[in-house]
Amino acid sequence: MYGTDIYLDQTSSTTDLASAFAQVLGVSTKRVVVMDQEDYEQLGSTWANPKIAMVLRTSSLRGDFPVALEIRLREDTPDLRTLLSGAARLLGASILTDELVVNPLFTSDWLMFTPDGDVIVIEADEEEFAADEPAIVLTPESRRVYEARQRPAERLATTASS
Amino acid sequence: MPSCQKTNMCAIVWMSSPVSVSPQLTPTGTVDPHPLPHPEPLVPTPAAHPFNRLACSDPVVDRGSRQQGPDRLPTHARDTVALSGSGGQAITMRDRGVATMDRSPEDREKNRPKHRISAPLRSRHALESINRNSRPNNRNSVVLPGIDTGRETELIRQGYADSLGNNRWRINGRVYVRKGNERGTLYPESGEGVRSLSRFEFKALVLLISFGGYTEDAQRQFARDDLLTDDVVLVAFELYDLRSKK
Repeated sequence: MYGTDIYLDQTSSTTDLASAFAQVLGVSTKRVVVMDQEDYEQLGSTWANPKIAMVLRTSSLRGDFPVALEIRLREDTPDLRTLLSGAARLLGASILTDELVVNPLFTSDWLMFTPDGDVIVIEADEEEFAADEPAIVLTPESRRVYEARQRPAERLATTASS
Repeated sequence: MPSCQKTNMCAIVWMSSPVSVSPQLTPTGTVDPHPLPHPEPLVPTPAAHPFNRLACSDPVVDRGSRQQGPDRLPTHARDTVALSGSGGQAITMRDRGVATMDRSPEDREKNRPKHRISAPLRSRHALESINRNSRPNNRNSVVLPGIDTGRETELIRQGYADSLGNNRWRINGRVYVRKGNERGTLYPESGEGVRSLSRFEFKALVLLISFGGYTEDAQRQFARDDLLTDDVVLVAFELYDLRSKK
């Protein structure tokens, strides 16, 4: 059994989330359940069903990656790189994890999987993440890297809206 | 059965930063020839702590099997948690790598960081700063109450710590590692009063904080979550206990 937290830069519907992760895992969408982080009752009953392959618990936070997902899998050592890379592509979202960075002590470092398949180490403001209301806020240098990796259409949209 | 006895009092060093030097008794009753002035123990002494289990010499033992029900944790927690121990041997501060002020300028220069350093982020590492909204990292290095990481950073900066190479320094029994970013942020890595919590140990601690302890509601949540095993909750409970006693 395995669990970790990931952060997405864009919201998706629960259907899209379940569909994307099910596709990457190669299982039916029914075997991936999305629920609220606080819903412990549902967690207990859902996970008791051995047919459920994955649970995604959602919550939100401030900042550049406002969607938090706690992911749970039956297997102990899943291929997280493949999982996140595939999910980023299918959801069209950049995904952060701190599981695969070089030194786990350096809590400001994150590994970002982009929709285009890039995998980049970026840095977020550690103080913001440790704040009373946590946020993932990219450092100016990492923000430049992040923005450069956004798809052209999204870049145009960002420019138009700013 | 836990292997440590509640009567087996262990020596716990007093850890802090030096200001003046005069002979004084260590908490174990021996005279420390190189005493440090700060009289505050950073962890409770065995006699002062209401649960003597926290001062036994063995690390966590007898984790036990996973139990369901409201009384599964307290039994474990009271019997098996260890903070630090010496096996009953007297340990002086010097033995533990506690900083002393009698270091020569050459020695200080040798041990001084070559690049800028800044203190660990208190809101991230101080046990008492963790709150119900705190989010975990993959590893979470937590510093117990009473440890002044800001002051230890200053001592490292002045060359009073032992440089271990590879951007690491040891002071007062704790090892700090410097991140190679612009600010040179230090991270408490290991040693006296530094705990490295896993993601789910941290989550369990946050749950305990949210529920105000190992309440029935908290137990219900733990029972529904297979990743919050007894072992995980035990670690969290020990820290919650220390945090509450602050």
